[in-house]
Amino acid sequence: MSDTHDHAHAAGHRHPPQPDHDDTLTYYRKLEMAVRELLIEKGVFTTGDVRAVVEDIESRTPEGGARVVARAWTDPHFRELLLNDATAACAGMGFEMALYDVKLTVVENTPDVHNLVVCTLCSCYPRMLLGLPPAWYKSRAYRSRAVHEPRAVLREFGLELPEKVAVRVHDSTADLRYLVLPMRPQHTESFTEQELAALVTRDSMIGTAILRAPD
Amino acid sequence: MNAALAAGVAAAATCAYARGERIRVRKVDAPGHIRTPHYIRGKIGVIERCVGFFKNPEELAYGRSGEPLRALYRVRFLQSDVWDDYRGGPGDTLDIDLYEHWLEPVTAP
Amino acid sequence: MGAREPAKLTGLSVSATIGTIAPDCARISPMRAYHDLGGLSAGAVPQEEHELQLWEKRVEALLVLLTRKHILRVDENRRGLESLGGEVYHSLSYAERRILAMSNNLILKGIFSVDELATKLAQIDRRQDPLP
Repeated sequence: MSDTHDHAHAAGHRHPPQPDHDDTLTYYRKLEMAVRELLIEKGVFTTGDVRAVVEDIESRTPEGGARVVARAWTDPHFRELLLNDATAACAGMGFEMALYDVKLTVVENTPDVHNLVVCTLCSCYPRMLLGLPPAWYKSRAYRSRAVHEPRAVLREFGLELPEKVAVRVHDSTADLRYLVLPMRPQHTESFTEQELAALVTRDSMIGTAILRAPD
Repeated sequence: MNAALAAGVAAAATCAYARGERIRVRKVDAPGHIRTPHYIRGKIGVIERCVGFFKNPEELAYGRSGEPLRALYRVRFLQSDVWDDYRGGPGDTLDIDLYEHWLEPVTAP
Repeated sequence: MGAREPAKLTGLSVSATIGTIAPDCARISPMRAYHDLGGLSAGAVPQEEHELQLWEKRVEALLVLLTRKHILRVDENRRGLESLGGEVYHSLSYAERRILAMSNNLILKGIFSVDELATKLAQIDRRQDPLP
């Protein structure tokens, strides 16, 4: 019973992480193997299909989102399109959006509003632009507290916002996936789009960080 | 999704609620696969926009078609209206995407 | 072997395969589903980064492929997670509960049978080199 299970960590936290070549195969790793082999044997997909999707998953990193952010900072027309139809804007930049049957929505930070994204019911996340979500995003603690005490959660991430900045939390409960467009850091007027993209962190696109002016 | 959305827009009615309208989230405990979080039920918010028309996830979850499409809204709540013990700025808000059948008009101010 | 063994799995997969929603432990409130976490009390957000292991990425890949081929919908995956029971949900890791729910769903859909799964698992067991 969970009451006697005094494990303090949120679901998804393992210790120590077991490498795949570990001799002791846990039940769930065997289950993945079994399910995959059965599906391949039944012709649902091939080994190559699985490999290709794993590679696609691995290729999607926050650098994708960072490129979109940098483009929005430098191109007002693109920014406008991004805020109105993010899926179309990103497809126009060459991102394969159709594989994900959801609607990307970009919300912009301003001097008056700071956005924070969470999925309290599961782990909805803009994977097509950011890749797989970090463990903390899927954690029980984040999912429970981000809607209720966002400023306390932000503080844990090292971000303290003045009260006059409204914190706006987005709970992704349906088919919309939210990406935060952070404010462009100061003193970057001379930066190229590529240099700007290098400044954009994953956490700033979720809302648990803002971007400081470069040194 | 886009084809289905286009077909849905052609077939479905208009959004029942308009931007700026106050609504209450129905205070109902329902079995099955529900995408209206428990914490928001019974709370009053404002329609930020009607997002579009989508298949009903409550039905899709059980292998059903999810049709007819349902209107989905982004609804904005003042955090101080959601939590009795909210600690933060007075302008802090919570935006949630909710389906039309979970919303009801607010008759009294 | 890990601490979480098939004996528990059998009981859960039976209840999941007949499509019932496992009764909530009612730890929180009788009417709140165990996955519906918004507003509950919790400790600090654990911020350590975890690189996903290959098998965990494969679980994600299987879900992508199954949804792309319209065998499973994301909504069915979620409902499967919501049918595992609160204790399982909160004690398994993210990937563990996803593969368990997926497996249950595939049996429910008749993609493979429980027997086929059991046979395959036994086959996998026989492949493992015995430990010295």
